[in-house]
Amino acid sequence: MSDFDSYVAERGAALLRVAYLLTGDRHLAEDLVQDVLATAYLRWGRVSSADSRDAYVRTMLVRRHLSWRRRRSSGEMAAPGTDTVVGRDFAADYDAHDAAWRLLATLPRRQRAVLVLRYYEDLTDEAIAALLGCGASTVRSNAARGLATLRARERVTDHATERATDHATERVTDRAAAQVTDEERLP
Amino acid sequence: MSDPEVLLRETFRRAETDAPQDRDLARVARGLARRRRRTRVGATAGLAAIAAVAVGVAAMQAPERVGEVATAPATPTASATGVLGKSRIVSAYGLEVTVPAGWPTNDVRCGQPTGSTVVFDSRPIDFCLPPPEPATVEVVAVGRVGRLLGVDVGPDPPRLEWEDIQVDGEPARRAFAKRADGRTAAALVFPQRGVGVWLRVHDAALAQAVVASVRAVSGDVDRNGCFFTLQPGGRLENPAPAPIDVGAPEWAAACHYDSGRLIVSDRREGAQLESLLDLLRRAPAGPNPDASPADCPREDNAAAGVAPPPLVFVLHADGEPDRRLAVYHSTCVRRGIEHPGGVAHVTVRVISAGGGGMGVGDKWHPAGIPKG
Repeated sequence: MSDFDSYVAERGAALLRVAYLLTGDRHLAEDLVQDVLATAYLRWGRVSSADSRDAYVRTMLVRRHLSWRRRRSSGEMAAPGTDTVVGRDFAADYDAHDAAWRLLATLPRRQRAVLVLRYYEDLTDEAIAALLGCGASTVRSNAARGLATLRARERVTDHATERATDHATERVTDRAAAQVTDEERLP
Repeated sequence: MSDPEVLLRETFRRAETDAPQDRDLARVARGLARRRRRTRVGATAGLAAIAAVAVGVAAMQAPERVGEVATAPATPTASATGVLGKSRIVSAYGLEVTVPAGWPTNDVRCGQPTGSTVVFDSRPIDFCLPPPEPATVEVVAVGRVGRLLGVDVGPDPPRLEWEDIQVDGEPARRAFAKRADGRTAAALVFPQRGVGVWLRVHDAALAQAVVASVRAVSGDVDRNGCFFTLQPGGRLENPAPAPIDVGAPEWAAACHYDSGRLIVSDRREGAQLESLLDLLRRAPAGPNPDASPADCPREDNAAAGVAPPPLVFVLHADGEPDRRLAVYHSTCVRRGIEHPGGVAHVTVRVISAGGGGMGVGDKWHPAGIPKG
C-alpha cells in the first residue's frame, strides 16, 4: 500500500466528516474530498513533507470548499432557506439539533467554516486564522456573527413554531368543538 | 438548549454520523488525478474559453471487475427496440437511456409524477403535500443516488433482489421486481459513479428494454457533443458585441450544467431547431446590462466572472467543427451569449428554448434579460 493510500485509509473518513459538516450535503462532501485528494495526490511529495499532513490536507479542504462554493454560488441555487423553512412541518419534526443544522445551512460559507473548525475541530482562533489565511480578529468576528445569526434565527423559529403550534391547537380545538356540536345535534 | 455553542458542538457530533462513508477514496482520487493530468481538453475556435477537463462523473473511475458477473448488452436488442417503439435517447449524468419518445420530461408536481414521464434529479422542487401517485403513471428516473427524493422508487417500493452485472465494462447492479400495484419496478445503479436509472412501468418487457438500453458513457463529450465538465474561468475578455452567426447546423444540442458538471443534454432538430436558430440570429449584439446590485444582494460578482455557463448550445454541421455558444444567464453580471464572433444578448426565449422539455435552465435573474 502506498503512502498516499495509507494516509487516505487512515484519514479519509475524518475528511469526509469535516467536508460534510462544511457543505451540509453528502454528495458535495464526497465530491469535495475526492477533488482535494486528487490534488493532494498530484503533489504528494509536498504534502508528505509537511509538518502535519493532516493540517495541510485540512487546509486544502477548507480553502477549496470556500472557493468551490463561491463558484457554485453564482450558479443556480435555491433561495437561502427555502428548503429549510418552507413546507416543513416544524410542529411535527422540530428538534433543536435539526433546527441548528438547518440554520447552519443559511450561514455564509466562511462563518459556517469558522464554526465547524472551532466547535467541531476544536481549533483555536489563531489556528483557524492561519488555516484561512486571515487574522484572528476576523475569525472571532465571523464566529460572533455566525453565533448571533443562529441565536436570532433560533428565536424567530421558536416563535414561529410556537405560533404554528398555537394555531394548530386552535384548529384542533375548533374542530373538536364543532364535532361536539354535531354530536349534540345527533338524535 | 439555549447556549448556541453547546448546541453547535452537539449538532456537529450528531451530524457527523450522517457523513458519507469512505468508498475507496484513494482509488477514486488517483483516477481523478490521472485524468486531470492527462486530459485538458480545450474547446476550439472562439470559445476556447470553455475548456473541458475530463474529471466528470463519467470519468472518475476506471472499470473494475467484480467477480463473475453477467455482461449486459451495450445497446438495446432488436426485441427491446421493438418494445420501445418510437423512442428517444436521453443523456444525463453520463448515462444514455432510451425511453419512449412521447414521454415528457420532469412532469412532476409536488414531487410526484402526474403522467408517464422521464425525471431528472435536477428538476425544480416544489413543496406541497402530494396526492397519492396513481398506478397509471409510468416513470423512468435518471439521476444521482439519493437525490431523486423518492421519485426514483415511488410509493411502497418493493424489495429488490440485486444482481451484479457489467455495463460497458463498468460494474453495475440491476434489479427487477413486481410492485404491489401491478407495475414492474426496475433499477440499474452504477455504484462507482453514484448514478442510476429507476423505473416503474406497466409492461415488464418495456422495463427490460429500457434497462438494456442504458449505456455508461466515458470520454470527454456525450452523444450530443456536450463536454461532461467545464472548467471555471477562461471567459472571453471584453468580447466584441456581435450578432450570432449560427451557420447551417443539422442539429443543435442544449447542454445544461450545474457548477460546470453536465446534468442533461438534449437535441433540437426540425422545427425546434429552426425556432432556436431564429432566436439566436435575432439576439441583440452585446452583453446584457448588469442587474442592479439591489436585485442581487448575494451575488458574488468576482465569481460570476469565472463561473462556467449553466447552458451551452452546440451547433453541429457535418464536416465542420461544432460551434459552441455559452449562455450565461444565472448571475447578475456578465450575462450574455458568448460565441465565436463575440457576445450577444441572452433572452428569455433563448433560455426557454434551451430548457424546454428538460425542466432545467428555467431560473435566472430577470433584470436586464429581454423576452426576445
